[in-house]
Amino acid sequence: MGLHDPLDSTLDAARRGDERAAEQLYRAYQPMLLRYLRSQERRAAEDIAAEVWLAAAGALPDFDGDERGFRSWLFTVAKRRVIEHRRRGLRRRTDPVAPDTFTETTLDEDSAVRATDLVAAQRAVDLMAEHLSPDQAEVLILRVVADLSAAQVGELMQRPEAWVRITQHRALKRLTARTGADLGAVP
Amino acid sequence: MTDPKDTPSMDPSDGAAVPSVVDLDATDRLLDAIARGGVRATDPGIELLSLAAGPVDDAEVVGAADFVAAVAGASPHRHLVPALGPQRTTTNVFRVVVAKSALLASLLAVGVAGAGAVTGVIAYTAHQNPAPDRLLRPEVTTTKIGQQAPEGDERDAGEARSAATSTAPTTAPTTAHDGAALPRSATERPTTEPLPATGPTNTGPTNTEPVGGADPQDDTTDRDLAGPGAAAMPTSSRVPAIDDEAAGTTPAAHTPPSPRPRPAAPVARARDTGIPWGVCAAGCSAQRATDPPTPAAASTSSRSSATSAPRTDASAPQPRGPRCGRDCSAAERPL
Repeated sequence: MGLHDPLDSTLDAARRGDERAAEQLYRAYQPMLLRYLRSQERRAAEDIAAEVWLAAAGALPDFDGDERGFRSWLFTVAKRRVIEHRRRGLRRRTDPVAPDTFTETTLDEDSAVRATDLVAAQRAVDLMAEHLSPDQAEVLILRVVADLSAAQVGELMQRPEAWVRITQHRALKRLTARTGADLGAVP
Repeated sequence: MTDPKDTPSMDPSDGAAVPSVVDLDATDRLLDAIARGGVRATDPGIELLSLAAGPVDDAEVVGAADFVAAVAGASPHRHLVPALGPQRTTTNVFRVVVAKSALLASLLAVGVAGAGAVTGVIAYTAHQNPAPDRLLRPEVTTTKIGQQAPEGDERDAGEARSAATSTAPTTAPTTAHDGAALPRSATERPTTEPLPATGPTNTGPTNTEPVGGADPQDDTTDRDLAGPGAAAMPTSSRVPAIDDEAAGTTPAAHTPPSPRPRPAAPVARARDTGIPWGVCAAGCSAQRATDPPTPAAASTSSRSSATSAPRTDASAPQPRGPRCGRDCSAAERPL
């Protein structure tokens, strides 16, 4: 998915409060954001995405940069929200949970899986996360789905650019070697 | 050579060799091409990546309205900013300042006008309707001879004077403030002095007529003394100082007439009109019917009203004053 210069003007209009431009930004970035978040936290992807867009709406009027900078900033916020969500999950381990909660959680997870099965792109992302290490899957998803450069991915993940380049090279080799048989299942 | 810290952890399936820079650059370019959708899948890995970067499904873009509302709430009036340039903003601020200044000035003008109107009404009301307690103040029982009091005060003083003369002589209230005698000018005569029971009280309506036969030719002096206040003023309190000075008398001559019938000095200066000065119609010396005319007063008919005194024409027949009301016995008629 190519997101380039046309979105620069859309971003400027959204900064001034143009509602149509804001909707165009949402339609352009929400799918890739959901695919990335579902690869990281499947059950909480929708909630984290809502938090990311809420933060974006508050910071959009003061944002200074082009479309690529906004995209990198958006996924950086998403990454931090994922980390915060995982920390909250660790704290919630000590909370007593009613038995009914497990049943509801299972049902919700099944529903989410059924919904994502309908999307070929999300199914491909899930296969990537299934066959790759977490770092490799995240690097490839950010490089291909979010269309971020190696340098931007390294900045987002707080890793050197060279680490990103080596990781993506090894991830592509592994993915090609392991997923040959599974690609036939992707609609 | 790649820095070891930049090398990701090795998986046995990734092989032991560190990829060359050429391979890293080729992989980097391939991924950029996949992200932009410009690569045709040649292996399962590339095909999977192409699917992951596939087109947007409608199910993934739900919830756009919430973000749009959030953006609109974050900048509710931002779309109006282009319509308000810096110049127009400055103009609007200037207009607001001018409008507020005009409003403040109009409010101040209305306030000043209102205060002036209220002050005028109060002054007019006080002038037309004097307070009742003013009639009972001891100050109104005094007057300054030779000074023209305001009309209202003159009427008040006349009324109070009439009230004072219709009753018994009052005590001296002007000296009752702190027990000590108040300084009194030579031209001020208290009417609370023991007045002889004669004069306007006994004559009644005749008080409105000039007393002492004022010269109708003398406009200023006679008009002043012929006014209501002067008519009601007892003749004993109408002794001008100017005449005293001209006559060579001392202020002691203005002291209330002694009941003793031997005023040596006034009698000695009696004119040749045949009627001695200080003699009432009955002939006793307790009441001065008229003031003794002085040569200066007789020759000058246009003296200032503030310093002039009632005078009588020396050539005109000297009228006698009203009766003093006392029993002018023979013992009191030395003249």
